Formats: sequence, structure tokens, C-alpha cells
Amino acid sequence: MSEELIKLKITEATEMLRSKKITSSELVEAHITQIEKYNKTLNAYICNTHDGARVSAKASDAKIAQGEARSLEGIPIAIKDLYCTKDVRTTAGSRMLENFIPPYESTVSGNILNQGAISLGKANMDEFAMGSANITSYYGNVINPWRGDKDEDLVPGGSSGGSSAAVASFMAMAALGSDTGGSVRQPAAFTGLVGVKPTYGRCSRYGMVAFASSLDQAGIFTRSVEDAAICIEAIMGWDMKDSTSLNEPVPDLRRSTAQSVKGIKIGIPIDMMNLDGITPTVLTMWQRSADILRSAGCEIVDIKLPTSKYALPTYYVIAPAEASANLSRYDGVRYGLRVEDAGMSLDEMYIATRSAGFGAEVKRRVMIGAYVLSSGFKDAYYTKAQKIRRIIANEFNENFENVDAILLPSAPTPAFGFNQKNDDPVTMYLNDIFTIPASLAGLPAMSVPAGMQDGLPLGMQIVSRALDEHTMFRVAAALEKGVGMDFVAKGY
Amino acid sequence: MIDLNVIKKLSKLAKINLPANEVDGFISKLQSVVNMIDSLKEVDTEGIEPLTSAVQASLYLREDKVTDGGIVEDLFSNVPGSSGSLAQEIKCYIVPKVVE
Repeated sequence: MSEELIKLKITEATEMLRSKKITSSELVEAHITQIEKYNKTLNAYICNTHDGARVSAKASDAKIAQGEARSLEGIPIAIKDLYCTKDVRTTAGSRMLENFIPPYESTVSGNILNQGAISLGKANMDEFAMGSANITSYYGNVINPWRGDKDEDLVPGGSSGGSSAAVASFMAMAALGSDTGGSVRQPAAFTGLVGVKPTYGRCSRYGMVAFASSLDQAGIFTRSVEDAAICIEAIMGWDMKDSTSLNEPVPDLRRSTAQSVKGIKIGIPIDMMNLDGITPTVLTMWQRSADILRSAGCEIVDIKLPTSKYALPTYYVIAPAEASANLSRYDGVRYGLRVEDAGMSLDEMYIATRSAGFGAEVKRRVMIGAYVLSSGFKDAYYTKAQKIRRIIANEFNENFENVDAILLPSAPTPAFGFNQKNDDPVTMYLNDIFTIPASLAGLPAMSVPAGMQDGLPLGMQIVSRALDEHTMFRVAAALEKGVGMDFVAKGY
Repeated sequence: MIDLNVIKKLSKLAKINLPANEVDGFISKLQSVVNMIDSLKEVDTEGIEPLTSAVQASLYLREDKVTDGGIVEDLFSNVPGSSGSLAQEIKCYIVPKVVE
């Protein structure tokens, strides 16, 4: 019974909960058993909140009994350790925040918990969300539950690698992630999950540990498009505590997933097919996905996004620049790590704290940020990148005058091994070539599992107009249906 | 060109020291990133305004009322280091001496 429970989709579990076939306590307990069995190997959770989850499950069962169930009543989830959770340690994957216990709750985690979801714990992640493989966490690497034909340890994607591994190994029914340049969509692709990043501004950033504020956006991992619709609806909405939050009505996305895609125009950015490092199987999946959508009634059109080939360097100027400013708050004074010896000056205390508290990738990005913002370089790098960001956004908007959605892969390859891309940071950054353009333009984008290579899942990405998550979910549901495969990692 | 002098300058700006045995590796990795971002020079941006935010909406103005008071315990609940408990007691952040 326990094994059957963890395999349920949220839609199925919700129905069984409400018809009293199962209880939330049973559902939570089944997941705790799975976590106890596999977390030691996969390292998806940094900390657990199982005691609290058991209490919440009882409360959810009472709500259901009283007929007061909310949209995610009794559903066990994981929360990326980037969301401040009241009285629960929040590390952002960094030694800097090893002992940080937030006195407040982030809006997004608060929103999903207020819909009845139950947190099983905080999910591991790349330090301060900087990474594409979950190999930069102070709390250790996360292992992908998928091992491929070669049966080897592989990365789960990043930066939300703990979230993706937890949902793919049935240690949670959904997980909160965050996406700055692809940190939800790429790990979703690497683990056979649906991963959604809504329009920038749809979700409040209040209480999310900041990386690059003009790009950071909350997101969600699930095992189906319909589950994703339910979860993303729960976390979206205006929040006066975030000045970039959008005051727009939250759409009924679950209804979108049931609507026909007949007549929807889909653009294929053909100039992105030539980007470096795409495997032939990814190209085949791209073609097949277009065929599936054509058969479902979509019109497929070739488009061009010529400046998107500069999205990667643009991002690696803007994101580190914003990170260097955001991470200046870690000074050892008010919270976080403090390293000092008797007789140290204030400046020496700052330096000792930051040198000990940040890992290598974070140091590198903070220093790149300092470089591109430094005197004599700011116009050549930072302002230039912001101008190219506008060109990239304009090219999307011009295409959206003719098409309703854009279809492209989520990543150029399937999940890779731990030693494959370590020597040169740029090789690692190339993982994000397909996800970064939509991030720079602030557009909604989601990854849907759509193919296999070497026994590993691959994901297709759907990008739509700003605030048009409705169309994105319609297309995603049609693609999921047309692909018609179950993406389940062996042995789980 | 990233060299030791650039690293020293960035170290100072970022307030991060690198261990001596990591500096060479750091220089080559940083150089690799700089080579990549240098490709931005190829793009013609004449007459283009910088895009600073993907959100075009104007800022929301709230009523001019104090809404965030009464959290003094929260503000001091995570003060680190040996002076942490004193900071919590006297409700002041404590730093090394800055004036002789």
C-alpha cells in the first residue's frame, strides 16, 4: 500500500483523500518511509520536518472530514532550501547560512502551505542557486535517481537539484524550486518531471534568498502537467511585500490543461538548432514534439531568435552583477556566519567571514560581478548586457505577434556524470543555453518530459507570452498526452 | 586579461580572500568566463535602451503607515559570533572596534 501511495499523482491522491479511501497521515507516512530508505544515497533533503508533517497531516485529515479541504490539502511536498521558512533552518545550500533560522515565512512557501500542502523538509540546492548540476552545495552533491543505461551516478540538474531528485524518487509529490536562468526547467528535464517557471512577477520573491533579483522567479516540480497547474496556481499572486510582484488575477490553469490546442500557432526557433553541444537525440525529440503538436491541431511555424545565441554571455554579466550586490549583505554582523579573531578590524572580520562562508562557485560569480561593475568596465559589460537583454526580449515579443508559443528543448543533453564538466565553468554554463533566453525576457516557460536518450529522460520547453500561462499549459498538456510515456526512474 | 593584479583588486572589492594555492586555478577559470562575455562586443546596440527589469508595471505605493514595527526580537534572533548573546540582550549589533 505504502509503495502505491507514493506513486500517486496529486490529482489522484486528492480524489482518494476526499473520498476517504486514504488519509493524509498515511500519505505522509509513506513518503517518510521512502525518504528514510533513499535520502541517505540521493541527499535530496538537507533537513527534515517530519514531526511537523505528521501534525499537519492530522490537521489536514480533520479539514477533509469537515468538508473544508483546500486545493492541496494533505499533499506532502519538499521546499527548496532557498525559501525562508519560519523557525525552520534555511541554508540556501551555503555554509554562510548554516545556522540561520528565519523568524518569518516566505510568501510563496506560505501560499502553498496555506493551501494545505505539507512540508516534508528542505531540499538541497546549489549554493545560493548558483549551479546547473547541484555540485556546489555545502551540504554535498545530490544524486539523480535516474542512472541511465550505464548505471552510473549522474547529476540531477541544478540549481534546484534536491527538489527534482525528491519528486523523481517519490520522496515528495511536488517540490518548490526557483529559476533564475533555468534552475527549475533544466533539473526537471534531467529527472523526467514537469517543471514550471511562470512570468517574472507572478510569484512574490519575498523571503526567497536573493541571487539575481531581476531574474529570480519561483517555480514548481511535479510528475504531471495537471499537478503543476494546481501547484503553480497556489503560489502565484500579488504581494505588496515585493515591489516587482504583478497585480494580475491568477488564471485557472487546471482548466487550461483540458482545453484543445486546435489553431494554436507554435514557433520553432530554427536558428537555435545550430547551437553548440546539442545531441542528435535532442534534435529528434524536438522534431517529434513538433509533429505531436501538429497532429493535435497546432500550426507549426519556423521562427528566428537571432540574438539568443548571446543570451549566455548576457546572463553571465547580469546575474553575477546582481549577485555581487545581493550577496554583499553577508557581512557577519546581523545573521549568518561570523569568523573573527581577537584584534581583527571590521574589514578583516568581513573578509574572514566571506572567505570562509562562500564556496568556490559563489566566490567566482561574486568576483565576476565585481569585475563587470568595476570602474572602467561597467559600460562595456553591464550596460551593454542590459541593452542586449532588451534586444533578446524584443525578438521574443516580435515573434509573439505571429505565434502563440515557442517550442525548444530544455537542455542540450540528458543528465551527465559528476566529473564531466568540472574543469571549465563555461562548459557547465552551456547547459542553460535553451533556458536563459526566456529568463532574460521574463517570460513564462515550462519543461515537459518528451523523450529518452541512453535510458535517461529529456525535456521539451514551452515558452509563451508574458502572463499567458494559460496557452503554455494548454500546449504542455497536449504534448504530455501525445508523448504518452511514463517517466519513472528504475528501482523507485 | 585576468592576472594577479586584477584578482587582488577584485578580492578587495568583493571582500573575499583566496588561498594562495587556489589563485592560479581561479585566474584561468575567470579568464574563461571573461572570454565568453567578451563576445557581447559583437552585438550592435546602437540606440538601444538598457533593460533593467522584465516588469514594466509602475511601483505600487502603499499608505504612509508604519507596518513593520514590533519585531525587535526577530531582528536579533540570528546574530552570530561570540558577541551574539550580548547583542540580543542590549539590542545593538556589535562589530570590531572601528575608532581608536
